Amino acid sequence: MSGMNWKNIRINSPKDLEGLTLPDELFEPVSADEKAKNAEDNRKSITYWQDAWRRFKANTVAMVASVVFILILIFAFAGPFFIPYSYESQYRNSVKLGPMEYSDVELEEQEVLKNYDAVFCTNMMEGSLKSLSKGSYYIKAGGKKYYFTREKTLSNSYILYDKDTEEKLFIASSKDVQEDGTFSETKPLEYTLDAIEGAKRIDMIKKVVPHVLGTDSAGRDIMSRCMYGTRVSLIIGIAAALIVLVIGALIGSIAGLVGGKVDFVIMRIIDIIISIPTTLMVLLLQVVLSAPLQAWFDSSHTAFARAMRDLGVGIVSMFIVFALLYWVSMARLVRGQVLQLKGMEFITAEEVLGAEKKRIILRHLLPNCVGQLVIATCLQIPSAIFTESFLSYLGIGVAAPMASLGSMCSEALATLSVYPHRLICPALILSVLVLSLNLIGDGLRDALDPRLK
Amino acid sequence: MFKYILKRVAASAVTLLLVAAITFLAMNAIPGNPFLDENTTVEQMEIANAKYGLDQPLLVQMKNYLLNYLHGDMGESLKMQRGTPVKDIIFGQGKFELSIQLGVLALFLTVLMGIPLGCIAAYNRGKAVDNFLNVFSTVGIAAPNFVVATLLLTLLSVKLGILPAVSGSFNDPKAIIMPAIALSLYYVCYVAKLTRTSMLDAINQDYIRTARAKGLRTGSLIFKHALRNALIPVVTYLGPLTAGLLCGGFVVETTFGVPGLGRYFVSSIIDRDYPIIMATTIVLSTLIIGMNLIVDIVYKIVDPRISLSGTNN
Repeated sequence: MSGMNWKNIRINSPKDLEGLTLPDELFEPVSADEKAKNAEDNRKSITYWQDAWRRFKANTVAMVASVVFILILIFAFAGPFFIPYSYESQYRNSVKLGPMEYSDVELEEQEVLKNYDAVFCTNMMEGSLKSLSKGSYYIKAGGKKYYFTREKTLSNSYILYDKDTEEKLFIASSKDVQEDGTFSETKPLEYTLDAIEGAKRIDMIKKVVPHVLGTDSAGRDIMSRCMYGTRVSLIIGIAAALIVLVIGALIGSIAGLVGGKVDFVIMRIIDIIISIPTTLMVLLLQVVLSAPLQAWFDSSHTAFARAMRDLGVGIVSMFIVFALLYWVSMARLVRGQVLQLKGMEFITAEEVLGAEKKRIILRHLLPNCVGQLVIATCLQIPSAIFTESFLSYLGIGVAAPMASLGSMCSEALATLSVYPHRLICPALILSVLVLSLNLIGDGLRDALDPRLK
Repeated sequence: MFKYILKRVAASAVTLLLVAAITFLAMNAIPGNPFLDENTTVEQMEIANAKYGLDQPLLVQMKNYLLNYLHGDMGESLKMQRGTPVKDIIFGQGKFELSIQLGVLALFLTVLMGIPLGCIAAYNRGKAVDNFLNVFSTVGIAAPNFVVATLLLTLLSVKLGILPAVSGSFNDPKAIIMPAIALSLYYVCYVAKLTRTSMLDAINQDYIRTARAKGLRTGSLIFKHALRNALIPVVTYLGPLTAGLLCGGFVVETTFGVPGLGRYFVSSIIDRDYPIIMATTIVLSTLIIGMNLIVDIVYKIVDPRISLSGTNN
């Protein structure tokens, strides 16, 4: 077939191609540009959220902020499992400790744990070694040293545990102890507590956990208060943001969807609430609401009232204030979105096709608003945390023994010159938390805002 | 224009009235009586109630209360300075002046620092200066004012001893430095960010390119041509800014021991001295609402593009 003029061949139907073989020189390789274009044309289409996530992942600042935020979450929610101190207990012997400092009692404990072969547990009470006093004694028996404290409860019987084998050694009663602290007689073991539990107890007193950030003037562990305070601040921030979201979205969408007189009235109310100085009103309502709330907590016994009581008057009234005053900007945002979307062609098309209102709202309006709602809610959290810490700092929000980052800062103010770390720790956590949330919010805006596409 | 101003004034008056009504009703919602004390007898309480008009129906009380306010009578302190007229406490003891001094200084700091910083950042967009200012303002926005206040206190007066820790009055100009910085830092950062954004918008406009092509110097380009248009969003922020500075004063005054109105307000809240709480709320609200009104009108003058209907669509 060579020598044939290829240009004269006409292919009108697939039949004409039969028996034809084309020489290689007629083909030319696909250029790089064409390859790229082909790849682009055949690229798998991705959804809005996949696209947003891709943008968010590419945003280094937002990703770092997210990691920091997750670390703070771990600190606040998982942290308390790793330290044996509670946020509200007052450790009497360890008042006003600096970071990593030990109280006299704890130093003694450490010394005991290092130097003696066995330690003693009073009556199997938890944390017994914490009540060490200066009248401490030790005995030697069977080539080992045993440590115990002689206290007023010595009339009871005591168990001594071997530190290495965690075995119960003997029981001594007060009559067996002589003035110099030695035992006149040691009896064989006849105590009823089972060995495993005893071993647990001895394990508990085996190590002395330091107060990493020291303790405050009432002997409360600052580290655990920081964790707890972060948790309180976070929960308040998130709950307040959700309250604002629900109320604002509801009212805003009603205004936008119904329109007419309803819209006019709602917008005038919003205008007025926006021009009310909110901070002043928050302060005022905090004061005013506390008494009726307290009365309600005392009289009502429903599960809801009990849950609210656990939160405390300060926090609940803060939620009420948020529900009353802070929803307005969210409502405006939602209304604006709804109005904007309502005028768009695809909604009109859906209406013309005879779609129900419910379908339009659920299938078209809501999904198109979600991005904006997520951004606004995310940015609402730090501002709620700000408000909470502001109130708590002024002594109006969260009350002791509960802690929030703001109230801890305010407690630390009195001892600022001696123990600056008490202020710096909660203040730093608060700032980093707000910063990370702000940056995440900015990142979400970049990722979700369709106008930037 | 006149109609617009009238409308805004009326709206502000309604808002103020509403604030007064909320304050009044809120105070009355509190169970108990301010005169309730272990040693008061029923008769004494009745006399006290009659004296302060607390035995009348709520609406009458509210009417009297509003009328009294219009006449400048704010009632008497019930606890903190028993019997002293609230008006004297607020205006007569130098508290108001102190707070206003602090607020005005912070306002100046905000405007004089925030706007130039924003301009510099926008002009050097993407360069090291811009990045530095961006980080600075992002961090500044994340730090609550009490954190800034206490850190300044620790650093400058406790550790270095340069500035006095407690500011009894501002006769010593050194005493006002830290409170003013603590109060304004957040807003400086915020205004800088705001200015940067709107400045970037302005710089990319055609008329700026024309001005540049004409050979104008950078300084006049930025400050005369671009800034004028870039300032509009900043002007709208002045209303919330005033509110923020006045309310931020509570924290800053409490922290630095400034005996101003803010600190007094906080202690009156903790002490539950209702007439003082009410009066302070109303005085501060008047300031804030008035500032909002002025800003709205100025805004209209600065930017004639805004519709004259006065609605927010």
